[in-house]
Amino acid sequence: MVSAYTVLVDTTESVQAPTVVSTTIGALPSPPRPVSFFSKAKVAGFAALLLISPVTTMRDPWLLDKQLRDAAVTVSVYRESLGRLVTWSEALQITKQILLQAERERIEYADWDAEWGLQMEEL
Amino acid sequence: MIYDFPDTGAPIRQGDIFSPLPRVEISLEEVVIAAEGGPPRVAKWQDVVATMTDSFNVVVPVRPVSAIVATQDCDAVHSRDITLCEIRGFRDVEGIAKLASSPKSWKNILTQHARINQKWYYLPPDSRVGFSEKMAVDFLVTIRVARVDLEKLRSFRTGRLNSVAEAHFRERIAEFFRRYPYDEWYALDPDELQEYKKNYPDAKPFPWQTEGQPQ
Repeated sequence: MVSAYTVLVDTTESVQAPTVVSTTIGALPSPPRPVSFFSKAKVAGFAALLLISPVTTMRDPWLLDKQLRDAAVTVSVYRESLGRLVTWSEALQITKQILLQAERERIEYADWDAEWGLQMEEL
Repeated sequence: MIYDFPDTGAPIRQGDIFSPLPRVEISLEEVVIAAEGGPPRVAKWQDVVATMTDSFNVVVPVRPVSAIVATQDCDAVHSRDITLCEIRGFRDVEGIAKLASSPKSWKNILTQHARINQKWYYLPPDSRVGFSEKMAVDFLVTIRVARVDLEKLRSFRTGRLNSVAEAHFRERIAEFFRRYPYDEWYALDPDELQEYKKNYPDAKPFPWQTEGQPQ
């Protein structure tokens, strides 16, 4: 669900904290005025905007950010469950075995290939 | 023998022999992930890439080996990477050589068999290159290094194939990489195929080799 309201709240700091100083500072307070029809219409219009805001199609940065945070948490959980933890000593032992196995398998392949091909007496 | 010994400053060329260079092994069954600030993890490659979307560090074993430049001369001057093939003892690369002892058997392997088995290239012993025994280039085992790194290590170049040997070497590389598998028994008649299957029982006859034969 995306709402224009949240977009207004979640906009950049410059919107919520204007850098331009108001020119009304120091002005005399004006006398109270009766609520006009136009003021009521303005309030009603703003309320209508709030009501229809959920149907807008703008993406909600908060929601998007939450989804990203959820994804990050998920990845973190995966990472923690990825494979198995080993000590550095075990890790080095594993890599040594990988090296020796690769070299052993190359020799085994050479022997197999020699049996498959022409034999010494055929040469 | 068949080697030249270029000056240290000479450009890198195909057929240059370097020793030692690092040959890295990696297992897709056991990838050792070096986690930051914690103990390492061991996982299968498919699980790792399903989880890790960015680059990561792994621990891999390295063996210092001799190797020969396979990259052709122009690329060896300009490209970012240079590919080399590992050099090992001849008997470890060509299994049939384990039975060789006499000059005649060696002659047969090094001439006739060289035409049949195109997976290796023979390098005779020469103490100046650091080869105390018969060696072979294994085209199946490649090593990739950065060109600029290798250029800084030209003092590790122990020799270079001479012009005749280099001409043969480049042909052997080309032949190796253009090989493709085919069923060599496809043209044998039924009697010849029967004989062939005594040595290679897995050979399956083609349709034209069973015509008129009881199924």
